[in-house]
Amino acid sequence: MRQKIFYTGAFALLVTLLFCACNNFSNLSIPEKVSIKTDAKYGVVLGEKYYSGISDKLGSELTDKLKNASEGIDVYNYIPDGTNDTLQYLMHKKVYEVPLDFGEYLKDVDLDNMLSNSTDGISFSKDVTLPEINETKELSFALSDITGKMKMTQDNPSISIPVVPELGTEKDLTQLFIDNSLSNKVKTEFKYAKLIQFTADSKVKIIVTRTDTNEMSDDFSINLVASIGNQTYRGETVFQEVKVESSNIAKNGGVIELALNDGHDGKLPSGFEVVIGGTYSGGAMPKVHSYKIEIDMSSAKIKAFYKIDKTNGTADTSDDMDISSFNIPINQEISLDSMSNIIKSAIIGNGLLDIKIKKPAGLQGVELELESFSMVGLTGLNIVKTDFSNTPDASYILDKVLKFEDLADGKKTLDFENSADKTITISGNVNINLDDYNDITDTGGATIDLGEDGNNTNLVGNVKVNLATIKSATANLSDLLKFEMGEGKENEKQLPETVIKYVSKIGFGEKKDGKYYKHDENGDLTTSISEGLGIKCKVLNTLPAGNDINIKIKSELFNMDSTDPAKWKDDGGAVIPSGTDSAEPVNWVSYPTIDFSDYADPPYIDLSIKPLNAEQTLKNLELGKTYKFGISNVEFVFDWDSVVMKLNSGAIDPVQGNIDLSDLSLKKITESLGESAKEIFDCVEIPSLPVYFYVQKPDSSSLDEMIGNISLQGKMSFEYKDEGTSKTEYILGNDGYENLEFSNPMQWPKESTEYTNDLSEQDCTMSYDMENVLNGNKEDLMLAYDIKLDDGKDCTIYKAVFDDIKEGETTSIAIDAAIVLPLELKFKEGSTIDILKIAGVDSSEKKDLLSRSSFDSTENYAEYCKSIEYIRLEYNIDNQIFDGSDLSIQLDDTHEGEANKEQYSGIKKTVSFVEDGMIEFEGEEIESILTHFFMPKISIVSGKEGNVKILRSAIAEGSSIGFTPKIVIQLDDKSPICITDILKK
Amino acid sequence: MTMKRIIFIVLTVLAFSAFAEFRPAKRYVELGVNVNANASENLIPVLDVLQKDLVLDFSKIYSDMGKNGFVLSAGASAEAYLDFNFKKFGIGFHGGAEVSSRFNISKDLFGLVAEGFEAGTPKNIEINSWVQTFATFSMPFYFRIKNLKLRFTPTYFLPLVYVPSVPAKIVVDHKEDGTTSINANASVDVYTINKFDGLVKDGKFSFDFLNGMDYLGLTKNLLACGGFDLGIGIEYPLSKKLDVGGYANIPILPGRMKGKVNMNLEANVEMPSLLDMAFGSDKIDKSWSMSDLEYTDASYKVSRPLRCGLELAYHPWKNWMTLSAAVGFGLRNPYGKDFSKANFYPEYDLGAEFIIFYFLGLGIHTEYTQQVFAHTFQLILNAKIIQVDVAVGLASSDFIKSFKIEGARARFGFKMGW
Repeated sequence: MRQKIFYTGAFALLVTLLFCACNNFSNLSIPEKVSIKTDAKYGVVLGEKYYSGISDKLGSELTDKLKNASEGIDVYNYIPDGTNDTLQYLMHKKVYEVPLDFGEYLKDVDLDNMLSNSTDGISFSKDVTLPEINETKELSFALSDITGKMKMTQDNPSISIPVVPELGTEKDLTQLFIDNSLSNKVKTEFKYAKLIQFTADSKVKIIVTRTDTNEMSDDFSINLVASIGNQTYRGETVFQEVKVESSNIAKNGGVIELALNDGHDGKLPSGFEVVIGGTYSGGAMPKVHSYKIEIDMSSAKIKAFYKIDKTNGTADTSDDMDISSFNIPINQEISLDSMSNIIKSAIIGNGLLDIKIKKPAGLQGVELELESFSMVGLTGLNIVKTDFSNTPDASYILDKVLKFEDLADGKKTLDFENSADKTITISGNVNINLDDYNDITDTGGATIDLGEDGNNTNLVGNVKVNLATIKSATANLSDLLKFEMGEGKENEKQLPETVIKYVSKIGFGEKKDGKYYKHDENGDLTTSISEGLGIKCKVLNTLPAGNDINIKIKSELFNMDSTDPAKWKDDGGAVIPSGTDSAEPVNWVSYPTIDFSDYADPPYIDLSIKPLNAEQTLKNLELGKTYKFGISNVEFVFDWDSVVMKLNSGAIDPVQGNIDLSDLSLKKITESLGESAKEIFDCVEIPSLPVYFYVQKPDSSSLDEMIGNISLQGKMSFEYKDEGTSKTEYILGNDGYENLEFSNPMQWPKESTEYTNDLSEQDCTMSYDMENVLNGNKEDLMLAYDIKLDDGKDCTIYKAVFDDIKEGETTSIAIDAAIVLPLELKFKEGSTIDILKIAGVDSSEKKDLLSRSSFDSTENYAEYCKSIEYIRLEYNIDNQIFDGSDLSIQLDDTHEGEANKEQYSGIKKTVSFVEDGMIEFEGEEIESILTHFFMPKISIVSGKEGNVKILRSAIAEGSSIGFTPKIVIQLDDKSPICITDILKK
Repeated sequence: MTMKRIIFIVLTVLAFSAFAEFRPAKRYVELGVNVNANASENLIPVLDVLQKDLVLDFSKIYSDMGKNGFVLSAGASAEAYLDFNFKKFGIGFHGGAEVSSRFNISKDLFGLVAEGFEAGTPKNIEINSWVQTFATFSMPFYFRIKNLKLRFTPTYFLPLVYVPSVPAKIVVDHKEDGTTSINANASVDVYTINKFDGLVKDGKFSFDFLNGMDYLGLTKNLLACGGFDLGIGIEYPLSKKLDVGGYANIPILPGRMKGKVNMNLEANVEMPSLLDMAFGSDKIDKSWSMSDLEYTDASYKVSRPLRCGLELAYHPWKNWMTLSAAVGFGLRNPYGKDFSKANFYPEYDLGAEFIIFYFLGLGIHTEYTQQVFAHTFQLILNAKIIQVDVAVGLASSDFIKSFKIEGARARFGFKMGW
């Protein structure tokens, strides 16, 4: 028992200990304060922000702006050194030039392109397709229109025999008709024709139907006899009797058939009779029967009508019974619309108009007559019935023919220009006349035979129009072949001023034995033949012989006129000969002497090429053919031989000009940044902006020898305003001109937009760094120049000189200016730019960056900052635009030197300007921000090499700058956050 | 998975009675009731919460949290019974009802507070819950063949309402470009024993569908939905001090749920980056949809687990002290379509009971049942005709935490007889 009590007590103690060990029950309470402890880290990406479209602004837009600084400026992407990634532009301008190779100037005008382009040029190809006019219109007339009116009539086609008694003896059936006052004859009659003929299988059916139901004796019979009696016409039997006897067939009804085309030639008088007769016998009285007899012509078909009497049947005068007049109408239209696009008028040459109707075999006494006819259209065409001639042909009942070549021009002229409707209309009428049968003595009378089967019922024929040639046509070629260039035209071009300034005459060779030969570089005549001045092209003209197309080429400036023998030294002028069926090259050139002496101002280039006559007469064109003519591969020929240069310095005025560089001044650049430009302006400067001048003369020694001992003098200066005062800073000359030394010849890319030679390593006549005139408050900067020739003389230069000059070599006396523009700004050492000022944040307002006018509302939260280890703003920068590695952004809330600096947070941070980085605020710093004003000065701070430069990659397509900021909050689990307190606040 | 747990809970309750049979009956006739209740969570010990100055250490909560995240489970059952116990045989009639539920939030939600988040790492927050109610009617009987005692428990069970699983998912994805998307969806299936069309109208319960209902026919139909299984127990005294036995529960006929109510919820939020909102015209794009309640016919089968185990009881001083042990395993929904290896679970129960002064008994158990560790203290007051059993204990899905008060289990039993 003790043992039991011990174990039980021990068990109870164990249970109590278990519960007590688990928890301290004495401290249990309803929570009054709830706090959270966590060391969670939250990373929130704020997003990505990219700025694109910069490539266009720094690329095409900026280069366009630079090109507008002065006429004739080329802008290159300047890449002198592959390791230098700064975007630099090179502005190049010829500030002075004396042309020696005249051909180069005309290359710039690009007359070849102007002559051959699709809108304004003369290059064209035209296909003229004349329609084939060979049209046939069927004519048809149904003879049933006539025969249909010769209607059949029948007297008593249905006969009833009411009483046929069984009498036992044979009796005459005819008697029954008489006893009943009935006729045993049924007459069939056709109108108009005196004689008719049925087709071979035509029959008349006598249909007997018994109509009673009385008892009939077996021995009762009827022998029905039907016949078409011997029919006579004019006393002559024309039809043998046809009799059919039928034993018993009619006793209970039946059908008897009589052939209608039997005996002689099958003709019947138009009124013939079917006679019913026969006998009946047997039977016994008083049985009586009744019958009905019908004469059925439904299976009879007329083959022919003879002896047609048009007045027969006058008892019926209705219109539909009139057979006195029948017509075949003619209606046809032919469109010539496709000819009207080039041909203004035409006269038909050869052609045929034919109206034919075939004569059917069974037609006699029938005549067709062209009652009326007209063929009109396009104002001048007028053909009538009388223009036809008859061409008797036994196989045709009507045959009318007209040959166009036999007509006068006045009747067959087609006026396309003045006719709205380009359609030929043919109309007319053919009349059908029937020979009338008059009386018994008349041996005539029309016969209409519809053939053995009665179906040959149509008159057929056609109207045929076949136009073969156009005798002559007037065509308008002026819209196709026209080139005009000159003052006031859309394509107007002036000769460069320098041409008339320095060139007096241009020659195209010297004539000898009818040919024009060129000179060598010494002026001696060679065997080389000049191609002259004019155009070279390929021509095509497949029109028939006699249709040459004459062209007129004229230019006052170039002193040529293809229609004036005095100004067109090539024989024959400019012609596109007919019969040229493949494109053949031709040269339409002259050999004038061009004289620019009389021009005070640069003249406009005038040149016209057009048909000699606006309207061209084309002859002997065949309809149905396609003619081609055109001009292609047009080139301007300007094979000059010599040029007389005016290089006498005494006779030539100096050349003056300027280049507008106002957009390059620092003031202008910073102003473009907006209102806060002053903040930046004071901190930056343009580090370098060199300009180079190259004075050049031809490379060729022979050319150099031709122009002799020549030199250039000039004055150059920068003109600008400094603090509003106009200033001039001479870099060459001053009161007088200063000699310019010749430098090595330069080559400037024509096609490429890049320049890769390092200008600083090339010899130049002079150079100047514009840094001083661009920095500071200077504005309206202009580079002015005044250049003149010295020691020169007039001379003749032969083109042969240029034959040995290589591509790109200098062929002129010229001065080139080259300005190198690096897109780079230098920050002055230690300078700072207040970003908040630029952003327009007014620091005088009594609110800090957190929009607080006091920090009472935020300091209550300061205690929670202990729960925050740090708040960090991390950012990734994707920058292809600029480099400012020596710059940094400084956030300074220390307010050093200010009396009330204690009320600010005192935080100072510095972060990278262009690279990935972060700015971190620890818990204590956040607490400081919450318990103090936070109005830091945020500045861009530069180091020693504080240059900001635009990278060359900035102008690559799709370049951009972007940043991805991220807020990271790291909580500290050492300090719980009291939720209940926060909720109370 | 959740459904299987529900079934497991039901069977665990039966297991209690199975273990109880291992003990000798004290009365020839017993009329009694048993009431059980349990609730547990695994987030924080209850006693830690009941502090004046409560500090929720999310870092610790998160690190201590199991992979399943936060689990809140609760259940209750009530049973009345009448047993007849004789030396050679016995029979009883038991009827009761029980409700079980479980609510689970995945660990990621607590990770948001405890660890924070980084762009490019989506957080998948899953919320899962289930509820199940059963009515049970069983008729246990036993008989002895010499020293061998055989016990059979045929049980008819009727599933009333069954919410197998309400998977709700919220995906929060803060991307590296600064945009954020929040997508949430849930599909709620509630199985009922019959199709109750129109049970909820305009957000309120409506019982209009009861009007004109054929209650007799309905009752027949409902009863036909019940399932049936058979519990078998065997015990044999190896000596006067040691009994050994075995138990098994064999599902025979699954219960069927014939009605289903379905509703789908979906919400999507697409947030542009803060920079785009501040400097651009981008706005937050929100969409929200909730489908109407859909009542459909269903045929959802619920089987109770197949259970099997061995048990022994040691009585060093006759009935004054009993040390018991049981070990076994269960297979949830063994004939169900969702059966897999995961349906296997172990169970154990170790206990000691003491009888003091004839009328007072004390007991202590440590067990792993219902996939919950529980440690209970039992007090038995036996006044011969009347007996009262009270048991209270700690419970948690985590073994270590099961010794803290994160959950509780309580049982009250009253029986009378002679």
